[in-house]
Order: sequence, then C-alpha cells, then structure tokens
Amino acid sequence: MQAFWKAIARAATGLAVAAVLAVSAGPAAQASSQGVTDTEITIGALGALTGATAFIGGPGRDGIQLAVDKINEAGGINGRKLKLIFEHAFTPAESVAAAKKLVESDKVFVLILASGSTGAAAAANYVRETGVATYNIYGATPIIRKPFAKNVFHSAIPGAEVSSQAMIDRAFEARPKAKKIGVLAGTYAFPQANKKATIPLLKKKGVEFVVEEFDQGSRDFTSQLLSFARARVEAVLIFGSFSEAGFAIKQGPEKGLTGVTWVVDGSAVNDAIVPILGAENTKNVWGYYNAPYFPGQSDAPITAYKKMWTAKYGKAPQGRPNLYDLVGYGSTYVLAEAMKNAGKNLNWDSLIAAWSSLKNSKPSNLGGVEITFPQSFSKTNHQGSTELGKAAIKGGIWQVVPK
Amino acid sequence: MAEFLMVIIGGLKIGAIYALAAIGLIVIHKATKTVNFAHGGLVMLGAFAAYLIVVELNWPYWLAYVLIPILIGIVATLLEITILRPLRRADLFIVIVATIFLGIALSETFRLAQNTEMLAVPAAIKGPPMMLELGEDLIIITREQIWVCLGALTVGVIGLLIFRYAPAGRSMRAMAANVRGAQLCGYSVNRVYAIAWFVGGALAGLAGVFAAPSHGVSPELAISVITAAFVAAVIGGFDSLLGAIIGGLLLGLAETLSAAYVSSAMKSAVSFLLLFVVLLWRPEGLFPEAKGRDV
Amino acid sequence: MLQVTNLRVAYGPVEVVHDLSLSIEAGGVLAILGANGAGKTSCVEAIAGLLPVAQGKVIFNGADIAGRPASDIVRKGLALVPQLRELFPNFGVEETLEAAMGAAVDRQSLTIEEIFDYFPVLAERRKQLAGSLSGGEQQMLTIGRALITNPKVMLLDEPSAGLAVGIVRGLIDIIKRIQASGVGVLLVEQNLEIAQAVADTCLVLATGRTVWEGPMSEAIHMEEIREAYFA
Repeated sequence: MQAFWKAIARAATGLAVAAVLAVSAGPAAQASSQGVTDTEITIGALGALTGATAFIGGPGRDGIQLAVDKINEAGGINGRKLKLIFEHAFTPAESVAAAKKLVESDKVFVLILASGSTGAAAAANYVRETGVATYNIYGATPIIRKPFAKNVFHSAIPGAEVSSQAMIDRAFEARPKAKKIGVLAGTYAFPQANKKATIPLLKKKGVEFVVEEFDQGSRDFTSQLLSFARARVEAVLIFGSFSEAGFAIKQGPEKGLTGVTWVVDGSAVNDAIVPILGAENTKNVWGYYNAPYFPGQSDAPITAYKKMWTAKYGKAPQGRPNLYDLVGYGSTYVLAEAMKNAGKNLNWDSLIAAWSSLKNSKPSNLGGVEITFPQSFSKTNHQGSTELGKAAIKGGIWQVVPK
Repeated sequence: MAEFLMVIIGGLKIGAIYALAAIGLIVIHKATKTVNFAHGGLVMLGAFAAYLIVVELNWPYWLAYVLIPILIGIVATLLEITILRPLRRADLFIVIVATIFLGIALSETFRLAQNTEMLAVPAAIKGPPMMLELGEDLIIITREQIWVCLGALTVGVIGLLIFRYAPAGRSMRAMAANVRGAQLCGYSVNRVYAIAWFVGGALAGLAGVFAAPSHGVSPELAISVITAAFVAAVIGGFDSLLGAIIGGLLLGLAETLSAAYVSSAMKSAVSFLLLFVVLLWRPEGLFPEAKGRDV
Repeated sequence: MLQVTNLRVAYGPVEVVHDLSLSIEAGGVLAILGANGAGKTSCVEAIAGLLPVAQGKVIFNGADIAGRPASDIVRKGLALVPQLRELFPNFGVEETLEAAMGAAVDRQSLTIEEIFDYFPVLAERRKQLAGSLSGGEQQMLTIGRALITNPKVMLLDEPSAGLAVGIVRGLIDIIKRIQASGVGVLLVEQNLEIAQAVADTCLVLATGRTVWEGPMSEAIHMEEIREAYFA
C-alpha cells in the first residue's frame, strides 16, 4: 500500500517539475522571430466573443480579419501572408491564459489585445515579462501604459486624460465664456476613472464646477439636475452609459435646465441615445469619437468600408460595424506597415524599431480605406493616435463634424 | 416655488405610472386572490411591444396605445390559463412562487433575446416644453409630462369605472367578495379569472407604454415597477383601486420630493418609509374596502 | 326533473356521502333530514357543483351534470341557497339580484320586482349593502338570489339556521309559494317543523348514508328517527 502512495508521490513530483520546466523554459526558449516563416506571419489576438464585452471582442476579431484578408489579397508583407489566431477571453484570468497560449503554444509573432481595459490590464505584466511585440488596440487603462514598455504599442483609444480634455474642450467650444460646469458621474468604476482624470483638468482651467453622482442604471436624475439648476451651470459633462446620459439630458428641461450644453463621454456616443433624447433635445449635445467617421455616416471612405464588411460578413446586425470594427481594421494596417518597414529580416527587435519610428501610418499606405485617424510613434511615445473627432447628433445619428 | 412646482409635476408623472401598474395588480388580486409578482414582467413586455411598434415597425404611436393593452391582456390570459389554472387547487404559497418565477422568466427571456443594455422608445408627444411664468421664475413643463400624467390617470380612472360599473367588473367584484356566491350567480371561475388577467394585463401593458419613454425597456424596468406598484398597492389598502391610484401618486411624489430636497440615495428608502408610516398609522391601508358583517 | 343515483362525495381520501340516490319532480318538495355531520351539505353542494362528485350520476333535465362547474349548473336551472349564504357584503340588494339575473341564460329570469313581491322587506332596502342587512334579510336575499335565476329545481341548505321563530314561519310560506310555482325543491333541514310543513317526501341521512326514506307523513310518526336524529 505504501509503495503505491510512493509511486503516486513520485509521479506527481515528476509532473510538477516538468510543468515548472515547461513554464519557465517557455519564454526563454523563444526565438524573437517566432511565428515568422518564409511564407507566413502568425499574429494572435484575444478578446471576448461572448459576455458583456462581446461588443468589443467580436468586432475586434472581424475588423482584424477583414484587414488581414485585404492585405493578403494585395500580396501580403514582403512576400509573407498574414495568419490570424483569435482566442476568446472575457475574464482577467481567461485573458492571461489566452495570452500565454497564443505566445507559448501557438507561437504568434505579435499579440493584439483586442479586449477592453479589463483584458489589457490583466495581460499587462505577462507581455512586459515576455517581451512579445504587443498591440493594445482598445484598452484605455493606465495599467497597460505605465510603466512604459518598449514592446507594447497602443492604437487609437487614448488614456482617460486625453478623452477628458476632449470633453472639456467641447464644453468650451460651445460655451467659450462658461463660468460654471456641472460634472455628472456614475458611481461605478469606468465613470469614476474618467471623473478622476477630469477634475484636475477643470482645476487647471480655473473654472468653477459642481460634481453630482448617480448609481448605475439610474433613470431619475431629479436631485442631480436640481443641484445643477440651482448652481446655474452652463455646461454639464456626463460620465456614464448612453441610457444614463440620455435620461439625464432628457429630464434637464423638466428640472429647469434649459439652454445647457451637454458633453457626454465615449460610452454615451451611441445612436441608441437619440430616441431617448428625442429630436428636440439633441441640439446642445456633444461628444468625441475615436475615428474620423461614425459607421452610420455616408462619406466615401466609410461607405467603401461598409461595402467590404458586408461582402465578407453579410448583412450587418444592429449596431455593427461599430467603433471596434473600425479600429481593429485600421490598427491591423498600422501593424502591417510596421512589419513591412522592418524588412525581410523580421523579428521582435526589427519590428519594434520600425514600429517606434512609424509616422503618419494609415490604411491607405497599403491600399486600405481611411476610416481611422493616422498613427505615429516614437521611441518614447507608443500611443499611436490621440486625435478625437468632434461628435454631434445630426439627422438622428451621431456624426463627426469639423472642429 | 417654481422649482417646487416642477418637482411636484415630475413626481405626479412617475406616480401616475406607478398607479397604473398598481391598479392592474389589484384587479388581478381582488378577482383571483393571486398576488401577481409577474406583473412587472408584463409591464416590461408592454414597454417592449411599444419599442417594436414605434421603433422597429415604425407604426403610428396611437396604435401602440390601442394594440398593446389587447396584446398584453392576451398574454396575461394565456399565463393564467396555461400556468395558473392547473395550480388553482394548489397551496397559495405555490401560486405566489409560480408568479415570482414567471416574472423572472419574462425578464430573462427578454435579456436573452435582446443582447443590449436598454432599448429606447421616443416620447409619444413631441414639441418644445411649455414655459409658465411665475413671478421672476419660469415653470417648465414638458408635453410628455402632461401626456403621461393625464393619460395614465385617465386610463386608471377608466379601469376603476369598468371595475365598478361594467358587467365584467361586476363579475370580478362578485368573485372578489365571495367565490362560491359568485359561482351560484352563474359566474364561471375560469371565465372571470381569465377576464381579470386580461384586464390586469391590459393595464400592465398600458403602464409599459407610458413608462417606456422615461424608463427605457430593460429587465430593470420589471423590477422597479413591481416594487413600486406593490408599495403603492399596500399604501392604498391592497384591495381598493382608488387606493392604488392615490398610493401610486403619493409614492411618486414622496420619491421625487425626497430626491429633490434630501438626496437621491434616499429615494428607495423613502418609499419603504412611507409604507411603514402608512401601515403603522392605518394598518389596513389608506382605502380599506368596506367590509360588512361576515355573511 | 332531478335524479341522483349512487352519488359519492369525498374530501380527498375521506368519503362523506356514500351511494346516495334521490329524485325530485317539478313542484315536489324533498326534505333531507339528519344530524350535524350527516353529509347533508356535502350532498347538496356536490349536486350544485360546489364540491367535486367522486362517483355517481346527477341527471338534471335529461343531462348528466355531475362534475360540472357550479356556474354551469345554475345556468341550466338548478339553484342553490347555501347554508353560509355566500353573499357579497359590498353589493347592494338590487345589485346582488342583478348579478344573479345573468344566470338565466336560456330562459326568462324573474324581475327584481317579482323578488320584492316575495320579500317586501327587501324592497325597502334596495340600495343597502348586503353586509349590513340583518340575518333574516340576508337569508331572504340569498333565496331571492337563487329564485331570480328562475330555476327548475332549488336546493335550500338549512334556510332556517340562526333565524328567529317569526321569520321561520315566513320561510315556510315562501317555500310553499316557490313550490306552487312549479319549482322542485330539495330542502336540507334539522328543523323538523319546517320539513313537516312543506315536504312531501323525506330522506334521512346518517354518516353519509340513507337510513330511511319515505313519505314525510310517515317519518314524523317514527319515534326512533325523532330521537336518533332530531333530539
């Protein structure tokens, strides 16, 4: 009997040692040109395909794949075709596991974080440690940005301080002489992070402001709006979802707030806010957008893009393609241009060097359509774009309007 | 003063929706002795139907007010026939649990079918808000506020009149007063229960149409409405339709006034505080039904 | 008019009426006598549809109505005056009668004035709520509620219970008048005096079984019945 347990113990120890060896040997044993063959470059991406953030991951996968197909049709990169492996990951733990799998067993050359902030934050340590060339295309979280890592690049979704500044700018573009600003923020994580980034900027601006908060899913904003009305604010910055922002703005007049300028953050810049507001309340509402066109606009580049999208994926369901489709597509072209500039001898070092000196990179450089803002990088700044379009509701939909 | 009046109007608007939801709850409870915890789910279905008719199908808004009460009335009747009728001889507790889970099932079905945070429905009445001058101040009333206040209350009063004077109302009141006696007058239990669920469902559906523009369509609507309707009904005595209307209006006012002058976090606390105060002061509610000698 | 054969009534596994048979003709009055708990009420409530019939036939007007809902049975013309009256406390006298008029679906119901002719006291209480009537008035309203449906057979379950002696006497006249109009009457009573005054035939129940049946005139002379069941 004892012999049996000893055998079990020995086997278990052996397995554990093997596992430790496998894990520790993994990254070290990688060539920095893993995933690159004479004919193919394998890139990996992770994001949620189901669950609450599936509206990010799903479009991410489709946007990247669409660009990969088009780049391959046009001959690939320096004679190599691109191949995408997409891994579903919703929770932080799944994100870390997906990153490991892609890097260590699928041996991808570049890892794209196509999840929201949650996945990007979870994978941050891992990608820093392994040194894999990483492209964070959606995460606004500071955790993936700080401290700076030379192998991690960011696309067109900037950190909170950039979007907060954009919101303050919108308020003062509409009300150059505003003396009092209202700040209306949800009590949950995302709006709180944005509020935190905004307060110092308002202080720096030297403007008076009133802060009011609301619980997630609120439908009644009586107390907050009355507080703004009593303080006679001229503009209100709202940090919350489209439904929360929509009902707050709609109730404004009922609580005595007329002629006020409303600025909503990125998550409220969604066409679903329009029916909540009603056409009569859309005039003084502003926002920002991370791309030069909304999918609903009919300008030539976005129309061409939608045609490509439909040709590949069929009739678009409601709400698709969305921002994450656009940024996924545009970012893949930026990555492709960096790989092209790295030349035939493609490895992490040559890619990172080429990426860090990429200027004004945009899809049209490789034959794509211009539906994202151009991205530029330097050795010390890996945020591809901080440009934010000025968004307003025109003709019942959000549109990017000239500044 | 102007601010106070605007707060009052805001409270009445919310209260009118609560009242409408509460009346439906009471009609079903009175006639069938069932506390319908799925009522919030029916209100949500009404709001969702409003979304389908007004937004998806782009039909004129008035059709929503005509079709939805019939539609949700039929849905409620089917629930009674298929799920509650077989449970009629079961323990009251089982019936209550059945309606609770029916409500959850309605909400979750919606959540699964509509993978979205919320569906928005535009207001029924559009146009710039009306401004009334009051001294130096301005009272601003939106057309939607007027429409919801008057519309929901009118429907509520019509419901009350039907229950009081129409033959269908008489059958439900007879059933409420004495099930055996009602049967001896020729009123069929199955038929009257079906009518009560139809009327209750129709009122819930209309409450949904009125609530959709200001609350949006989401499973949370079901929960917030059933809670408020329940509190309003208890305040009103749980057996009185007039009591439910007054209870709904009181609750809406209390919530809005406390949000305006105390804090928004107090809102739900206030509704329960109001409930406790009323029950301590008048345990039978504000409008107990006239109870004669035991006959 | 009404033939009940081998009726069994049970509450769950407990059978309270065993194998009961009876029949009533138009204008005839059958009395069911018996002590408390003999199964009299269970018997009439099963016939009227308020209790489920476990077994047996209830042929009314040529059709088997056993197990039909009570509302159906009253619509066919078999009305019950229940022992506990089962009135609607918040309905007025007139409204109570109006509510019951609807049960006369394939025949002319009586008018409210005809009912007031039977019970002049009720005419003075037209708008009064049923819950605020006196016990005797409530009993009149209960009978009126059954009568207004213009039934072919009426089941009266202890109509005299709890009523003052003077009122009981009035009740006898009412039952006679109903009978005279051609309605068959099944009268459940513990009060032998009333049964004796109105019934032609009689059936004695004990613990759910018929122990004696025959003409009323014979029953009242049977000392053992008197002693055993009406002491």
